[in-house]
Amino acid sequence: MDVILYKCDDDPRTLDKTLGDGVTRKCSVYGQCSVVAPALLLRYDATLLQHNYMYIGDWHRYYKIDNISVDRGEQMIVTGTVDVLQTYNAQIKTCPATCIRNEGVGRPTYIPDSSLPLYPDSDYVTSLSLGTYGESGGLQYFLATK
Amino acid sequence: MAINTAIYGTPDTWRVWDLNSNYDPKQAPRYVNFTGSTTAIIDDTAMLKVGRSQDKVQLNTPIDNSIAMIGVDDDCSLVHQTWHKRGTSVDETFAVQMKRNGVNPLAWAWRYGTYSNYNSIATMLMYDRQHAWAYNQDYEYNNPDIYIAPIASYPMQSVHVIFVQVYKDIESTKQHGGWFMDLYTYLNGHLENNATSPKWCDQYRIIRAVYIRDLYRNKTAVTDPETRDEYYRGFGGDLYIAGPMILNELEEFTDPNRKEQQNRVLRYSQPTRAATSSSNDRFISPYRPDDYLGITLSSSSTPNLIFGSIAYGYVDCSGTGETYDLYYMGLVGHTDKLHTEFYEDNGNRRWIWWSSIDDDFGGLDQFIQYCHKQVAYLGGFFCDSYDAAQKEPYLDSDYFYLGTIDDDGVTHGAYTQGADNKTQKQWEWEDFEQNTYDPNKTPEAADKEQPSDPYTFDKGNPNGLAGAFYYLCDSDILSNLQLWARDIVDPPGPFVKPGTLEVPEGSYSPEELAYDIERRFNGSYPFDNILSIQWFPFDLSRELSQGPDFPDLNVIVLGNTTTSAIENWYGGSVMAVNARHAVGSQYVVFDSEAHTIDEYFNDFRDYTPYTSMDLVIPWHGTISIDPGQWYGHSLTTKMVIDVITGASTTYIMRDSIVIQSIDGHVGASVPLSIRNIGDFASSTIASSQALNDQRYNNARTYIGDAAGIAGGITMMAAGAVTGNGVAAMVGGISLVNQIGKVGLDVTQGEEQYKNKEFSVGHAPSGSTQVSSATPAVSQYASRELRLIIKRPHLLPGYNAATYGSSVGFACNKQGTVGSFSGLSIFSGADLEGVNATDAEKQMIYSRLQAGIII
Repeated sequence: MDVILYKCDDDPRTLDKTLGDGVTRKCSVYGQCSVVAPALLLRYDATLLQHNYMYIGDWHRYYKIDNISVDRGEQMIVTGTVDVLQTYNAQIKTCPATCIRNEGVGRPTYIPDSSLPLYPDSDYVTSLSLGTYGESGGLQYFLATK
Repeated sequence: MAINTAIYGTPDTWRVWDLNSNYDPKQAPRYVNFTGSTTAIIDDTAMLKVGRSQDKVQLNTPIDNSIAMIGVDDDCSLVHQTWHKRGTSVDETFAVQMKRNGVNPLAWAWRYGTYSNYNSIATMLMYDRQHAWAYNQDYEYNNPDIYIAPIASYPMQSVHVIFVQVYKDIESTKQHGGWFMDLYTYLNGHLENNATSPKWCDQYRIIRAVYIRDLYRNKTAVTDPETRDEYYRGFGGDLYIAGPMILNELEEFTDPNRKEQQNRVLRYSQPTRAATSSSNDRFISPYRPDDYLGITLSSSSTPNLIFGSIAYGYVDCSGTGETYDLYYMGLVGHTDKLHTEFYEDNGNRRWIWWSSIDDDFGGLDQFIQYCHKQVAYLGGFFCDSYDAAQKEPYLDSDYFYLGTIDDDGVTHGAYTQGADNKTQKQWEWEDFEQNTYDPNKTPEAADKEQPSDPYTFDKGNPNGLAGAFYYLCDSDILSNLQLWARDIVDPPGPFVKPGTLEVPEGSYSPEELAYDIERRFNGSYPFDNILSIQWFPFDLSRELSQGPDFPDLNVIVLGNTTTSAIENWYGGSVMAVNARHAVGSQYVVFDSEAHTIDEYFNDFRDYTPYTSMDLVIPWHGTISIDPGQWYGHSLTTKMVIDVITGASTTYIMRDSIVIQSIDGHVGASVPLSIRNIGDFASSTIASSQALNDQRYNNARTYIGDAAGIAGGITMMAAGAVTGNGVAAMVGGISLVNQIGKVGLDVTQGEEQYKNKEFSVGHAPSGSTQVSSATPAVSQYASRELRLIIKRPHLLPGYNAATYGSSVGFACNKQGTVGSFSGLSIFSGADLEGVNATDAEKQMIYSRLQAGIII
């Protein structure tokens, strides 16, 4: 079974990651493992120790490399966890969803945001004059008689 | 869903007529048969156009009148728009919709065109209660391609904006900029002064919309709009001169500058003959004496008559000059400014549509404004400069307008201009997913806010100041009145006990005093007739109507006497006191100017609890108002003051509706009487004391002890605030005729006597409590109405970009995951279609809810 190992600098939350320095190696399954969190047995190669991402074509899945253990016999055991974001990237993009926080919005919206760093105790005060009633002086007394 | 019969009429009024029938003026709707095409007019209030394939029309089938009442004029204030995405996904959506709903068209609109490059193309816009769809046929009239799109939920009035690109797909708004209305004048060759062979008048094009595709124009200038395929132009909605008329002053219309034409009118001489019918005939008009213009759309072939300023049209991509991809936009509507008329022409029945720019619109400028409004119903960008529409790179320049769309996706014909365009939500739209309008979520008409009736105020009794005497005074007048009162009642000599057998020379007994009062004032003590003295913090003479003698002064009427010059106790003269009469209403009303309150942040911070607003109302205090109620609305106040009692109420109005009020008390009662009592009694007693102690003691025995005196004062002061209305004021003023009946403390009388300065303020010196109801402190307030707005502000160092990438801005937007960008946190998602294990889907959910970066 082939595995392609990559270097990936992206934030692990990135949906569509940029993968580089891909190298293909033969591997075998180390013991019994699931496709979600596999353990692979590879021939030891020190250059691979900088790789943190891999793709198993037979399983059609991308994995984040969790750990690399060096074993006897110039072997190394690579364990990883499936990266569902990268694996199902295209399908996820077409899924209808409700977004409650978004960077692309670019600015606060009409949705109250308690995380926005507002001064809790200091207000900007604006005082607008909307006009003046009457004029002072003159005849200011009203006398009623009968 | 209930049918809004107020808008659409009852279903039994919905009809489609047999289009083969002859015109019957008694029958509505009416119709006219053009070349191979048929147009039906419904009840003079709406119009439905159908195509030439008459078998497509379902005769005697109820139709939805709404399609004929949309998009134009105030009748169509509720206009929904639906924008359709380009591409196959849209087509699939439409197909699914069609299958699901089993649509059964209730109305049809037909677009037929013959163009050299693709033969005959027919597009039918059809509507039922839930959908509008375009039905495209090739020239063989078979193999139709059907596009269907949901429209606003019935029975909302809706603009059904359908863009159908023949042979292609449906365009979305986001990839376009919007509509650019181009107002300009254009005459083609048909309009000539050709007496020998006059042709029926053709285009007098005033409205043309340019449909700009590049919404990013504000960011990237169009470098060469003439050669780049950045825009579409040729959208219809033109005006036609209706009539085979001869233009006398053709040269006046060669100037494309509309401004120079606004004062010019078309003048026609007698028509020589009616136009002959041809395959291109659209309007055959009788003679009309003035510049009547018919509104229709431009087309080079078969007419397409669905009325409205922007009624129906096509957009051709002529930027390259090579392709002519046609986009159809279906808007139907009606305007009462468009008239219809049937006439006979050489035995043929003809039908015309016409409007008069002067008569129906009030002039060219008004017409242009009207056009602006109509185009604004589209909710897109538009401009009134053809040149700017093509070349002006920035959408926030003053050339451009933007139709306002409310949160429900409804347009109302309002629009912004220039930099204000940035305040509209469309400014942020970069793709159609950001169009927040979802027709499936459109509220029903019954759920909408009902329009409010304007608030009206009862003007009250205009003769409120009748039945008594009312005067406007200043402090000098009141001081003079005080002196006048003192002089006429001050006895010249000592005051002795009643019943004293021997009255020393120069002394007065109470009996004599009473007798003298009776004699001098005809039995009515003058100050019993003072009903009220109120002080106001403004010049009454500017607010109240004044008597006919104004500005002349008149003596003050006090019962049976007046404050004219009078003889005093010593035989001398007391100076007369004059004041100015006030007549008319007893209310002073202050109306503030309307002040429109706009949002400041344009986000949640503009609302409570983040922003607060207080209105500081002079003499009333401060009242809090809810900011959310005021944005986009005008704030006015109306303060009503009763000058007799000093009471007041201030109404706070949102637009023309009173939504809050606050009571106050502007006037301050003035205690004229207390000082008089003090003056009189103390002077009297002081005289007695100066004569001899015995008489003083006698006097003191007569007037009683201090407790009784205090009670007397309190009673009179309280009279000013007890009881009701004017009558209550009497007690506070009455005085001398009670002398001899109530006691008065000597010491207090002395103190008040020493108080030489008569104060007429709300809290006069030397007096006791005047009135607990008078807000004394408020008299020292500003006369200025002020709006105090308290807004939050961000902590120093706040960085929007960092905040967005690390926390994300709160929103609640629906769309596909891929339609969002950057850090995105989702509350939920529909993962149907994701071919993952259940465990993996749970992981996807978790990732989406924790936030992903797109």
